Amino acid sequence: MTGPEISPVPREARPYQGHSAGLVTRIVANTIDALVVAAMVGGTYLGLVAFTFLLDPRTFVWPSGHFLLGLTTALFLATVYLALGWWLLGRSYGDHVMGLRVVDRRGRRLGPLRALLRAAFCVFFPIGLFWCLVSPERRSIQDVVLWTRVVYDWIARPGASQRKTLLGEAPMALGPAATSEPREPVPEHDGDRTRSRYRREDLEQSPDPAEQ
Amino acid sequence: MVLDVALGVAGVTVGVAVVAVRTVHRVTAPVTRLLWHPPLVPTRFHPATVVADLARTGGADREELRRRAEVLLDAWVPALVATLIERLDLTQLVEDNVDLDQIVSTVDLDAAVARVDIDAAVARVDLDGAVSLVDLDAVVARVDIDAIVDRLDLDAVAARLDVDAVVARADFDAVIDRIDLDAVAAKLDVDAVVARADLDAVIERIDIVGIIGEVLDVIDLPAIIRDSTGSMASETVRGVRMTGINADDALGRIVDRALFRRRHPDASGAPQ
Repeated sequence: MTGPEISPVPREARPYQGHSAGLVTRIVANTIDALVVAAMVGGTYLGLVAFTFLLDPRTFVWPSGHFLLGLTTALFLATVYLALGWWLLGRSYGDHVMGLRVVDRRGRRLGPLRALLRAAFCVFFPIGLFWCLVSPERRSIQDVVLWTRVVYDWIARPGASQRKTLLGEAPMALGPAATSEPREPVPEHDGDRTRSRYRREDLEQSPDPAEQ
Repeated sequence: MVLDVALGVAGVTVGVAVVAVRTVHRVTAPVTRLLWHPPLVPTRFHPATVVADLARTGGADREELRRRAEVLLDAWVPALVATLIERLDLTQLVEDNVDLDQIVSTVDLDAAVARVDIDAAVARVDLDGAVSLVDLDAVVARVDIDAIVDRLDLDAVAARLDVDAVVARADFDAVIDRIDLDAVAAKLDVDAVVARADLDAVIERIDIVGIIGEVLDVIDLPAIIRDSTGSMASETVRGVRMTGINADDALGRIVDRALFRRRHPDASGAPQ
């Protein structure tokens, strides 16, 4: 698309777009996701109750909750929900509310396998999120292991129809020489939307060991 | 004195003579009448009648003589005058003896000009040759153009102008090159011009719908609306997001300070 760039992002939030999100925002987003999962579990429970009632209303008794079964259901639903959200949309509902997006090291949406692994990792090891507090690059344990990032991105559904690069982030180089170098955004056309990106040379400096 | 005396004497003499004549006439009138018309004599033999007949005959002879003399003069005078004029320098004579200025002052020139066929006269004049002899610059320098323009009926002149033909011959590029458009524009009262403009007519001629369509094609408005309504429909969401970002920054600064490290440039996009 040619023409002037008109961003729907508010002016005060534009400098943050594409940068790693901090702990507070991510906790709020995870809390919202937890509420969503709780609603899903409650809905599933009520649906089962209604189904049982419809099968035999005369002998219907309110089923007693089973903690382990409920917990298992909740963990399963949370994993599927997060994996589908990160894979298909790049964000869960909590991420959407807080303006976050989960991307890989190239700034693209996650693939299905990596999304599923990260979802399971986050569900079963939620404490790993707090690593982003001490990580210089605001990465959780899951991010470090799976080479992902959580960035501020207030734009809704950019390139949702296909998996493509959203933010030209630098590769996950652990050395200070590669990460402490200041980068300046340069405008670049990606065929669908003009976005502020980082220099592509940064992407080509360090090979991605995960893809070799 | 002598003249006066003479005149006085003459006057008196004339008066005396008149009186004497009247007296004689009064005295001799009956005698004279008797002599002219003697009694006892037939009328045709009266001296008066005889004299009257003689006078009538003499008048007829005199008329005949005058007619013959005119015939003779008509025949001879032109020939004589022509012969005389051939021997005379009339121009010199007129110049020496005639006051031409006085004569011209008595002529009614206006009436004379009115009788002149000026068109025919002009048609006979070689105007090109005449104009080539004139020092037009000097003439123009003496002309009071302001007075002429005041008397001109410019409206009538403009009505007769073939403006299209004039414009077709004009070299507008050369004219524009010589014009100081900046100075002209500085003197323009744009507000007054705009106030006189029929903006409604202008707007009617503009294809606003087409322009808007092109603009929408360029800026992809539907995508912007989609983004805006999808991600930032409410001020509440925007406020929560900004609060989260600020809290992230604040927490990051506290941790950085506690760990005695410089803030990492990737930690946040906030302006440093």
